[in-house]
Amino acid sequence: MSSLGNIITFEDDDDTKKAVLAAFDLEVNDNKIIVSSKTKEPALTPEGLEVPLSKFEGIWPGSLKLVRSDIVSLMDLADSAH
Amino acid sequence: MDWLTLGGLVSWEVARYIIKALCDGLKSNYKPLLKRLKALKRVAVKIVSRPPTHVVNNNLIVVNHSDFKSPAEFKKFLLSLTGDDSMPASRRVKVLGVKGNRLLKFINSQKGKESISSVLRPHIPPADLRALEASLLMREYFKAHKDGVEDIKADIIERFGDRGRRIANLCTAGYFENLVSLCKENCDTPEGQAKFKSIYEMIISQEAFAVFVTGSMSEDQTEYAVVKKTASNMIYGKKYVDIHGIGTSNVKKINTVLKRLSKDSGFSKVKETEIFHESKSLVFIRLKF
Repeated sequence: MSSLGNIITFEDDDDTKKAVLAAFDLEVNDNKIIVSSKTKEPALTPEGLEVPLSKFEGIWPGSLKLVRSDIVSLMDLADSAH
Repeated sequence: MDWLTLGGLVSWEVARYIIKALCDGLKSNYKPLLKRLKALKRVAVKIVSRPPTHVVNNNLIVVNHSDFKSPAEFKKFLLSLTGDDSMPASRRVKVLGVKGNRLLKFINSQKGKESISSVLRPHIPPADLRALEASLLMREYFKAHKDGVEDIKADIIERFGDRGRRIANLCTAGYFENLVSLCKENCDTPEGQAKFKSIYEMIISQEAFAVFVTGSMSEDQTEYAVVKKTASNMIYGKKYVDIHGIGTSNVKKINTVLKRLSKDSGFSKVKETEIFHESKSLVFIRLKF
């Protein structure tokens, strides 16, 4: 995997987001919140926050925790790598 | 398709294979393509809904998820790239939106420059520190890109509420640099730390109705800020304005401006001046009308 670098990116449009989510058995419910396709429970960030599709910005490696598009979530992701 | 660009990185045989596979579309077996992709060095993958799958340059392959036979095939492809549970999390591949990746790169580029937050870290609440760190990033992001700060500020307010908004405003105005100076002067004793914390809380709580004078403000700009803040405070029913200044030059500036305003018949008549702190290097006062 090191030959690919350590980030795969995706375009921020809804179609691409949904395709990426589906690959991790996640989907969007009627309230536009990301949920598990199996349990229909909301998928959460490491802080326990729900993620609307509009704020979906990625998947935390190894744990299926979601990354929100806000600055603090990305700061947390950056800190976790150091 | 740019044969020369791809050929510059890998052998022509591999390049031809990849290009043929991409031209055929990924509707057939994706595994040989995946094997070849793994052989390339420093190749990034970007997932899209349009245009079709193609190679951009030596470092980037764009993959359209609907080019696969089925969502299940795309899932197999993506999960084979991200790694499985047997791999340590630190080695697994992150999947990030383009905007998030750009911001993440910027955040990483600012690592090691946290001089303001590192000085204040032991002396302000942890949530405030995080709001400050985000605000400092916002300020630097604006310097570098000249836009995008509205979203970042909205994030700070959403996460930290009104207190986060105040911290972002103070940070943008450059006032935390003054707080660092104040902290360095005071925070080497328990009494000094308590004094700093008291002043810090006063600044945060009074942000909405105060003028914070910084070194970048001229006397005219300071006077204008006091007049403007006084007028807006009155609209909210606050018959006062707070004026803060840290540093001898800012204190001198404030004193000069107050003398000017006292002679200005157009400025509201001051009934009382309440002094919270006053010295050669620190002034926090409240003008009551």
